[in-house]
Order: sequence, then C-alpha cells, then structure tokens
Amino acid sequence: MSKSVSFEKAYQECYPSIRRLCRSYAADPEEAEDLIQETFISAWENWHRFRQESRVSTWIYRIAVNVCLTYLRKSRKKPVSRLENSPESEVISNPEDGTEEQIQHLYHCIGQLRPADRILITLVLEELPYLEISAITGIKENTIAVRIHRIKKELTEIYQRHERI
Amino acid sequence: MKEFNTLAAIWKLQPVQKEPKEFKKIRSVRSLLKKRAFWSCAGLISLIIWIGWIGLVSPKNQVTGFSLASIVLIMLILLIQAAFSAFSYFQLAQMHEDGKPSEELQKWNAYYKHRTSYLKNVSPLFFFLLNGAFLLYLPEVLKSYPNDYYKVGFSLIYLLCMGLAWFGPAKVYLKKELDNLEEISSNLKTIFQQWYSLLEGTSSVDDSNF
Repeated sequence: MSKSVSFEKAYQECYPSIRRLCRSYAADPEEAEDLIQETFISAWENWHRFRQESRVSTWIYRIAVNVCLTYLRKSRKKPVSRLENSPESEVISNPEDGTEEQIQHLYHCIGQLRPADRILITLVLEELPYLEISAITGIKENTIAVRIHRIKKELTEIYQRHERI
Repeated sequence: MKEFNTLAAIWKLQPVQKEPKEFKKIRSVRSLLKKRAFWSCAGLISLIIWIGWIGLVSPKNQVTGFSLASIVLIMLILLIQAAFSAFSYFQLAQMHEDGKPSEELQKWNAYYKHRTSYLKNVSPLFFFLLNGAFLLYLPEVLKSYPNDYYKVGFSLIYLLCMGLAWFGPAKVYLKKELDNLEEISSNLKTIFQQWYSLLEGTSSVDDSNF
C-alpha cells in the first residue's frame, strides 16, 4: 500500500475522533481545524517513522496530543484565552433541543481541567481501552485507572456546579 | 458513577463530523477530471475508428477528392484532440505520486495552464477546423440535389446553425468549463498553500509532553 493510500485511510478513520480531541483544546472551531490540520500534516511528514508497533490511530492520537499541548502552551502566552473566557463563542446550531448547548457546556467543563487530564478524559469519552490510552500518553495502565477515576469525579463536579449556575 | 455516564452520553450526542469539504474536493476533483479526460480520449479514438471504417467500406467510385480530404481532415483533428485529452490524463495521473504539496501545486499549475490554454485557444480552432472539414464533405452530401439554390440554401443553413452553435451553447459551455476550472484551481491552490505553509513550520513528534 502506497504512502498516500494508507495515509488517506488513516485520515478518514481518525478524523472524527481527532476533531473531538482538538475541540477540547480550542473552543474556536477554526482553531480546532488548524490543530487537526497540523496533526495530520505532522503525521504525513513523519509517516516513515511509524513502525507498525501500535495501531495507526494510537500513533496519530499521540501526535494530536502533542499538537494540542503545544497549542495550549502558546495560547497561554496570549492575553485572552478563548477557551476559558468565551465558551459560548461557537454558534449553537440547534438551540431548540439544547443538545448543542449541552455539548458546548461539556467542552467548556473539559476546558477547566488540567491539560493532561483533558486528554485522558477525552480518550475515555472516546471509549478507548486503558491499554491504548497508556500507549498514547505513556502513563502506566495502573496509574491511568486511578487518575481517570479522579478526573471523572472532578469533571462531573464541574459540570454540576456550572449547571446550577 | 451515574453522573459521569450522563456526560459520556452527551459526548456521544455529537454528530459524526465529516472531514472538511475542501479535502474531499482535492481527492475527488482529480479522479473526476481524470475520468473525463480518459473517456474523452476513448470516445474520440472510437469516433476516429468509426469514421475510418465508414471511409473504408464506402464504395470507392463514390468517394470524391473532397470527401476523402474531409474524412482525413476530420480524423486528423479528432486525433489531435484525443492527444490533448491523453496529455491531460497523464498530467492528472502524475499528481497521484507521493510528492510534497509544493510539487503537487506545481503539477496542478501545469495542468491548469494547459487546460485553460486549450479551452481558450485550441478548442475554438478545433471547432472551426472541424466545421471546415464538414463543409468539404457537403458537396458529397448535396450532389443528389438537382437545384443549385438548394445547395446554396442548405450550405447557408448549415453555416448559420454552426454559427449559432458557436455563439450560443459552445460559448456557454466554454465559459462554464473555464469558471469551473478557475474555482477548482483557486480552492486547490489555497489548500495546497495552507498545507505548504504549515509544513514549513512543522516539528517532529514530541514525546516529552507526558
């Protein structure tokens, strides 16, 4: 299989989940799109380094995680963080049933977590097994279980607190 | 942990986002143009073979010098057109190589230049040449008409129809093709340039974040 064919297959497979991961880091959809693009460009550039030791989605997740964390570091230097200060910046597509509002709210709450925790919880929400989360983040499987338990609790509390407000 | 399950359910409510339409376009446009170029070339070659076969099976005593010249000219024009389509096909086929976006953009630019020049300059020439070749064949078609007025009238009607076809549907088709090409080219250039500028600043995979 040529590079372009295998890359295209991986791109199609991973795009939706990478998009959700990137949205956890950038509330602005355009910035999220930039992160997705940067992830896949990096994957394309480093395709020869992928040694087939893990799933390609795991490898692309790793790249996305690095891209998102780098973005976060850079955005902290900016005077205003869009993620933390304007959660409603994205247009609510279907305000009548409140679904989009709930999703936005969830993203906002995820945005309140620590950067590394955001990744872990996003991967949990994507229903990835602990083994794969461990491969993506480099954290030991046992440690992950403990951390995830704590993050789940924290996120639920943030969500409920914001809901009350 | 019932509450977290609620959040997980909300997470799942997100519509499955498809990749941006521009990226789809970049893949589909090439294959569409390639298919068009292929079928255009195949169609023209089939037409050449058919005309050649008609010429061969026609009774030799009925074929005049004019009609022979017309058949040869029509076949030649169609052959050149087929060669142009084949050239477009190979230009598009080359774009599938695993190259850098800058190289892809260069290849696209070459295709765009060739195709625009063909539509603007070569296709009108082919239209008039082809009609000129058909005009040469007219005496053969009209030789059964006893009256010269009929012959002149028929020729004038033919020329009028071709003139209307050129200034009507042909011009509209060419404009549509050029507009399409311009739009596709502009989209592709933007995407390629975005990718290229991003590639300039792309760092390698960093393991130090965790």
